[in-house]
Amino acid sequence: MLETRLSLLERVRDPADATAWSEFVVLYRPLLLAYVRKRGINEHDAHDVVQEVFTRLVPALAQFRLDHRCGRFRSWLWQVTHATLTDWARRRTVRTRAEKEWLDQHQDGSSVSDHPDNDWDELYRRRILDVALKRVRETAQPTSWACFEGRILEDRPAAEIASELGLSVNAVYVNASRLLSRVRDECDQFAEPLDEK
Amino acid sequence: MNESCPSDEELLAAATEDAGASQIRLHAADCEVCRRRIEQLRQEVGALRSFSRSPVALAELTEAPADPGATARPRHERIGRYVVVGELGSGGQADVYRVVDPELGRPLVLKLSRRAAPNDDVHRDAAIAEGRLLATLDHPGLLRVFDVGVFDGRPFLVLEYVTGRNLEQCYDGRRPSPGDAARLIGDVARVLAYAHGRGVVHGDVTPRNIMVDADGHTRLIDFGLARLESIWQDETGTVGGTPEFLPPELVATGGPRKHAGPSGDVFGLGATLYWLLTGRGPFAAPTVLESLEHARRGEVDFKPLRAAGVPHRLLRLCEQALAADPARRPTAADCAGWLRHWSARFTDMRRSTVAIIALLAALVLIETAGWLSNKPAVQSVPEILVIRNNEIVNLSNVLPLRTGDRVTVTFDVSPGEPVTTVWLDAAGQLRLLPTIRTTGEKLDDIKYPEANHPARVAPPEGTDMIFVCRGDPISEGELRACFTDLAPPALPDVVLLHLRRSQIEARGPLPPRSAAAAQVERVGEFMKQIDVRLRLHFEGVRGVAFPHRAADEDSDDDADD
Repeated sequence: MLETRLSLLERVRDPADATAWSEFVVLYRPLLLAYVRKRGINEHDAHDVVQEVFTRLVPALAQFRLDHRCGRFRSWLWQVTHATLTDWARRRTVRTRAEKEWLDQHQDGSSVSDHPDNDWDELYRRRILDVALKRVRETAQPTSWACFEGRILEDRPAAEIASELGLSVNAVYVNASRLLSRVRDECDQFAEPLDEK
Repeated sequence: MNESCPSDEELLAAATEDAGASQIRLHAADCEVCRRRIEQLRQEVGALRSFSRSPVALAELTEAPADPGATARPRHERIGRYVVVGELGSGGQADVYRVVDPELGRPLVLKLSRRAAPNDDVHRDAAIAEGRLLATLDHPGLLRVFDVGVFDGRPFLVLEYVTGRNLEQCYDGRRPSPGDAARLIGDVARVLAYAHGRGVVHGDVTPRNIMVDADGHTRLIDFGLARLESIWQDETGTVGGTPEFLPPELVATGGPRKHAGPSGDVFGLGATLYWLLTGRGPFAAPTVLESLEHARRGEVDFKPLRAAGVPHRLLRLCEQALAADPARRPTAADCAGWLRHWSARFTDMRRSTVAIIALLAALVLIETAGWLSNKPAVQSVPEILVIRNNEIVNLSNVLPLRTGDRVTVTFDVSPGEPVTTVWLDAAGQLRLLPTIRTTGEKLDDIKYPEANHPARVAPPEGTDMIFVCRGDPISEGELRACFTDLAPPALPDVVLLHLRRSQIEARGPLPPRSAAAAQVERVGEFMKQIDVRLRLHFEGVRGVAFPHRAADEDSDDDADD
């Protein structure tokens, strides 16, 4: 299972696989934009920076040694984003306050760590969860989804859901359990185990 | 886990604290495997619940914010081999995307035409050929074209991506100084001169197509796009773009842009200069139809330019570039050369006050020997040759000049450039020198007087000066007003002063902090005052000051002719 789940990150390492690239962009673009905007960069410039991150990823991904350990890719992507932001701020002849602060904090290189900040981890996990849930929802039976959503996401009593849907309480747990397992698989695809905190 | 262990759904019930799952919890108390699985399920459910409880942060991530300026249009995730990573403002006839070439790894812009390409080989080949021609252009002042192709029946162009702002964005509600405007337009003129030299016409020079990049460099964007589009669009293509910047010849013929010539680009250059200086296009009118009507007749209202206090020379260039008759417009190369001079002078004017004081405080003393050989071309000061003892020698080698010496004055100017030459003698008398011009390929050679009739230097002794003023002639009254009636202060016998670019340079042996140095400083100050006044009228001023003594008995006066 892990093999196929990791396929996007594998496939995108081949520059000729434009389909994988499109998927990759669709997946990570909102995350990168949200993160860059959160750093105080204005809308237009945020799009510039994100484009540059993707541009750097082309050669960088081909050399990235994929590692299935938890959060490895998350940290690595953060490092690329971080480096892009720093270079970009340095290149600006006229800097906004946000850019200046970013540069002041990161220019000397001493403060650069291997570990992403909390914003990044939080946004990244949210993006992965969002995508995982969407994919599962798109393929699930509506009744199954209602069980999963009611019991897991909304924390409603199983008996209540069962009577609404005309199912047994056990059937609610069977459906919820199956979909939970599929969400887990989706998250594993990005080396982001669901139970990892 | 063994046969008696609960199923996944039972474990989930236990993990989510369902009241009915007490049996399973009892089992888990004894079963290490199930206890761990329940713990994992708890963490997973906890993560999902906390995620779904904060919808605000979720919305921020799921709806990727649109690029400001991007307009609604069909979305593509991929165009050919290019991966779309964002959308940019529309360029009128085309949808504009930020793309990444997965193989090239550089940020690019892809312009996808909104119209389908004509489905025939002739147009396709013509457009590909045009695209290839564009791809050969490589100049720091324009954007590189990397690829041309067809996607979904629509032609596209792949360009270098550069961050920055176009002139409309840069000068929204504020105007640049005339010096900055001249520098910007000069940059664009240089790019146009380069492209025109390679047979490529831009076709749509407007403030929107001129960008100042993140490094502050001027870049002309969308090169040849107007032309390319008109090829794609067959003969039916009509004039696009803003009528305020349209050359009259294109409006008059109503012809497609592919007929746009280099002179049309020069018109766009002039129109952009006009816009920079006044904040409006030359054919600005309340309605598009009225604009087109102004443009058709080529009637530009120059009053706003004069009202804006634009320097006379810059206004003249703007007028020439906006000439209704394309044949009467200067070339882009002319504009570039002229603007370079003008900008340099404009900057000098502002610097001169400080520079002169600094220079006089630390006069650079240069040995007289050897300076003859490395005379710079256009910026050279008038060269004075002295005929003494039947020999022609450079003035610097026979200082001081003596009454009765015969001299010639020569210098270079740009082709066709008007020039006024004056001699201020030691008595403070001003004389206009009638000069002879020899037109050259790169420079015009100016002489006074004719080479075989050298002028004789008249008394009294003291300091003489010659000034060469480049630019349109002014009245004699205005010219005399630039000089005081005072005689120039005395110079040491062997020192020559040059004035160029408002800077004074002393030539000759001179110990620092001597009385002689103080003399030199006084003469320099005198020249500088004249220079400042002359520069109010002229584009450039050069000058030379030299000592002149009464003839002594040793000199061979070479007899009268």
